[in-house]
Amino acid sequence: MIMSDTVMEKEPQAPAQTDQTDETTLVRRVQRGDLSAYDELIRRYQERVYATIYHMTANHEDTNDLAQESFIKAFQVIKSFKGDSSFFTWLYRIAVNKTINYLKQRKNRNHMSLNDMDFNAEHDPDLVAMVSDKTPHRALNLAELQGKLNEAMLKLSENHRLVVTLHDIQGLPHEEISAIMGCNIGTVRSRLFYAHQQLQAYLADYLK
Amino acid sequence: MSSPVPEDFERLLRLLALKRSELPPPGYFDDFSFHVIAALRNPQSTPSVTWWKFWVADYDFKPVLAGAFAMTVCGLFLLGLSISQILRDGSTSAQLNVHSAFGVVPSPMLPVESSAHPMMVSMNANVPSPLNPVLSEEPPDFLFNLHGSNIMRTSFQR
Repeated sequence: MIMSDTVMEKEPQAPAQTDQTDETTLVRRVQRGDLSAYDELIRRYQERVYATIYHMTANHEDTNDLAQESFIKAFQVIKSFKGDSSFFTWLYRIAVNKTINYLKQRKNRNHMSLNDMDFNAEHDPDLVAMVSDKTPHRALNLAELQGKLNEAMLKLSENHRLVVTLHDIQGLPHEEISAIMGCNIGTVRSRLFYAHQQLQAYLADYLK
Repeated sequence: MSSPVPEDFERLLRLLALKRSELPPPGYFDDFSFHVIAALRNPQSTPSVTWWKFWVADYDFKPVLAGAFAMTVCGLFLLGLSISQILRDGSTSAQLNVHSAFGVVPSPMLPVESSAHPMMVSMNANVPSPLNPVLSEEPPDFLFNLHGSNIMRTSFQR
């Protein structure tokens, strides 16, 4: 079988076996300094970590930098990972903390650059129907609606935006979000409720 | 926990589902792990943050802290200036005390260094020079009466 990347070529293991490798085993290998194992972990979680950071920053360049920095940071401190939570939760916590710190520094910069993103919603018939039937602006296209939605998201505080991102977009359960954010489930629920209310107010014209 | 308007809430969730379609450029994730691994193999490639950049970045989002820092710097500068002034005045008065002990008062226009020699001061005290100009309370006649005209001071008051 052909190896898909240069790092994995140095590994004598077959790709099929590598895919089935338990996450704990991978983490232990990474803790011993095995970069090929870390490559496997990165490939498992890169899209979800990227998406979370992107929905928080709404900027591709910033997301690229923050996602790379998060994975680098995770590797540097992986020896401190004791397995109390899943590696995914632990990695998310690093990425989320890094993103929130960055957003605090970026407070005065409130623009979005979504032009370089590949927007695939045109292929979703439900969403197309919603745009054409449910919104008061019949001529409104998906890109404009996306812009309005992102504007509304950026009006939320970092913590409220994060719960919406993790729950409504990423589909994580409340328990997982509370572990990532380091707060109790009640706080997650109340933040989610408040964020929904705010979003409904911001997007009132597009929800009727 | 339910939303006040369930129908709107349902539509909001569908709107938020739009964001799942936002993806980076095609092929972006093919090279992502390669860049991370390359950065880990070559730590020098990752830019280090200098203490100056750290401070600037820190103050960038803390304007109050930046203002306090600027005030402290200004305060220290003014304090240093006043201390140096006090020290200079102290040394001048000490030298004056020395001169008065010799019975010679140095010219105030002379620099302190030259007044360290009382004999020179006493010899040159009445000799006009760029370092020891003749100062008078009254302006010289030629300064305001170049052509012999009688110039009078004007005023709008009666």
